[in-house]
Amino acid sequence: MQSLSTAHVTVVDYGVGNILNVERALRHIGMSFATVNDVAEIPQDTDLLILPGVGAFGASIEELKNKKLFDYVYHWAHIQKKPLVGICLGMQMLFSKSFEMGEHIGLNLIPGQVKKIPLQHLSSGKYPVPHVGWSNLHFNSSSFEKGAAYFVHSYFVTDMPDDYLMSYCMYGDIQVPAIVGKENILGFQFHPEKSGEYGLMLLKKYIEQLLR
Amino acid sequence: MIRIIPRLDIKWPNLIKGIQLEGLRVIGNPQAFTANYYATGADEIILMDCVASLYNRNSLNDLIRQVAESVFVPITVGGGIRSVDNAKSIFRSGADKVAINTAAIASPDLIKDIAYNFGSQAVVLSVEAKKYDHHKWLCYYDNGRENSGLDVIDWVKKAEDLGAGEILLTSVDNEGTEIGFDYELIEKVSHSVNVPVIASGGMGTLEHCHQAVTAGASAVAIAKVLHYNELTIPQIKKYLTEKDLKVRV
Repeated sequence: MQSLSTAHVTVVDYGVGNILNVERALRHIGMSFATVNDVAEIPQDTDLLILPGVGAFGASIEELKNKKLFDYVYHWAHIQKKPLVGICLGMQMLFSKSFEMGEHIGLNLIPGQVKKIPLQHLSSGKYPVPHVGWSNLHFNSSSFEKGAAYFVHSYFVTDMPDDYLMSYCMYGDIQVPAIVGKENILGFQFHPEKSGEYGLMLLKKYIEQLLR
Repeated sequence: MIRIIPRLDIKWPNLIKGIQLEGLRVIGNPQAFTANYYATGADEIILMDCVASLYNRNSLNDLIRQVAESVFVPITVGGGIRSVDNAKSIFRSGADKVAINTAAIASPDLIKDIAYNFGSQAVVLSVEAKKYDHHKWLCYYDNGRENSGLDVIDWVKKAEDLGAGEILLTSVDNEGTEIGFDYELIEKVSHSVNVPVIASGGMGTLEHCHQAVTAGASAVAIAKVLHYNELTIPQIKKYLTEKDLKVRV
């Protein structure tokens, strides 16, 4: 397979959210990439597809469909089994369905649902929603050094089989999947491009693993 | 974790500092300051454009771009954002959130519109609160110059309903004085909404920061003590850790 610096990476800009920060992060970790906003522009020699995203699930899925990217991404990841990375909303869209402002079907690449983070009033304090800020990551394997990542979301992934949980954070009493992975598919709930040097390191290491 | 957020007031091309949102003093180059803050552990950065005129719009975008190039933590930009298009151009320059005040008071639906297009988490309601009676504060705008007549508590609740994802709460009375935050204000607001509250205005000592958190703040925005190097971010974080609060190290 490819290495981080030689891989042909395509970032999908479907008009939702700010991809500049993702682009900056990729550049910083030594990746070269092409950014496209049309399915026809996706280079034939793409090795890895990145799906960023910020905003609302329903509206974003609509945008993906409008640009014929929904079927393309599904085919890419599920049929062709090629590497796919989802970031923040892009990660949530990998799942079966979301209950954000209605009920919306996702790409269904990883089983699980996206639900609203409930308000929590615990003895340790009030946990506001959206979950905004830094939380420590817990890893299932000890191969990653500990650190905190930056989360900003009101919805989180639930009902996902444990097999796909690579890292989580605790928000009050709620376990929030932070990094998920299923074969050729990888997802980050937090913003690796906004989590300092630690986030950049995680982005690099996990993508390297995916490309192997 | 409690977020420590340096707040930079910008009068292009300078970082400035005011007291009680009046009287400005040039401190230095904003980019140099943000680079230092990022390197020493700032959890986010807030950039407030204090001139906020349309004429200066490009300069601000240039600054955001420069800052975002090497600062890999979230950047919030405020000052003179009047429309969804203004917000869009700021996001495109590299900002993650926009802070709005004056325009939101004039037209509250702006909150809803920006939230709809970019998500609630991208919309921070900036509140400039001035005490006018026991347990009551009024919302000021236009960089603390004009009185809107709106009660702070009523306004933050309304803004939350409209989709604001966070409240940046500045005490006009305490800002720049280093006498401490307005803890009662922080407490009242954080009990009235379910979104995070960022306390701003008045930090002078390490203990002030601790008290702001105890009062209910999820994050603390700090200007003067950091810009004048009276305290550093590592010192603040160490102190909060000693008080059993969680911070990012």
